[in-house]
Amino acid sequence: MKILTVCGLGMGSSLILKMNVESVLKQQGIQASVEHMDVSSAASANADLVITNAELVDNLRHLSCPVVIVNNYIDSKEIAQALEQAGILTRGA
Amino acid sequence: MIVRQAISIDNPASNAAEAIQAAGQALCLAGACHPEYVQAMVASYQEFGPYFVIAPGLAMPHARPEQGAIKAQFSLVRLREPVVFGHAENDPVQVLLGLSATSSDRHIQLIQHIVTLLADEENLHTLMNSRDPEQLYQLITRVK
Repeated sequence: MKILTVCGLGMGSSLILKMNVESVLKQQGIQASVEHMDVSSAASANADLVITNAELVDNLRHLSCPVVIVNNYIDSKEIAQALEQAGILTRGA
Repeated sequence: MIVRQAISIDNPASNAAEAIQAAGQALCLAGACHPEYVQAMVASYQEFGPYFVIAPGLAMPHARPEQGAIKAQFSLVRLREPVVFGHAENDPVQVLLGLSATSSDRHIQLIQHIVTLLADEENLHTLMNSRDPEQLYQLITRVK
């Protein structure tokens, strides 16, 4: 499974989100590769799931994979909820 | 990671652009970037919007390495009054971590350092509320 975290330039907040998504997945024992990317590259990338925030989600709605929103990049609960919504974590895990 | 000159705790800023400039100027003062990098930080906000407001009250503005970054470093700027950036969830912004992004291993280390810092609730509370530059400097340098 390939997960993309996306921000405007692909080197600041998407990297923070990537590290925190990896940490939530590790806690749950789930294997996935997580990459970070800028919004224009992500628009044509292949992934199984894209995670971004409400500000950039409109740029990515055309992707064929699910796109979920996380607004607080340092809140592991919100990240876990987004992964539940995408079906990657089971609810209440 | 951060030098004392890059911490500034009482910045007057009346809008997001001025707040981002303050975060950038603190990086410049510390020798971490050229002045054009600061302009690029503001331009990035104008182009992509306030997506870099990563948590309630906390923004991490930066630009691209080739836009004038010199070395991987953070600045910490606290605003005198919170400022609206236009973020749906995380407004208003009170604290900015300006990032001089060099896209090297050093830059990744710097982000990892900040992730570790922000993961601890007590650290986060200090970061968001302290008005003591020495306390903030000690907090950031203490985290490993």
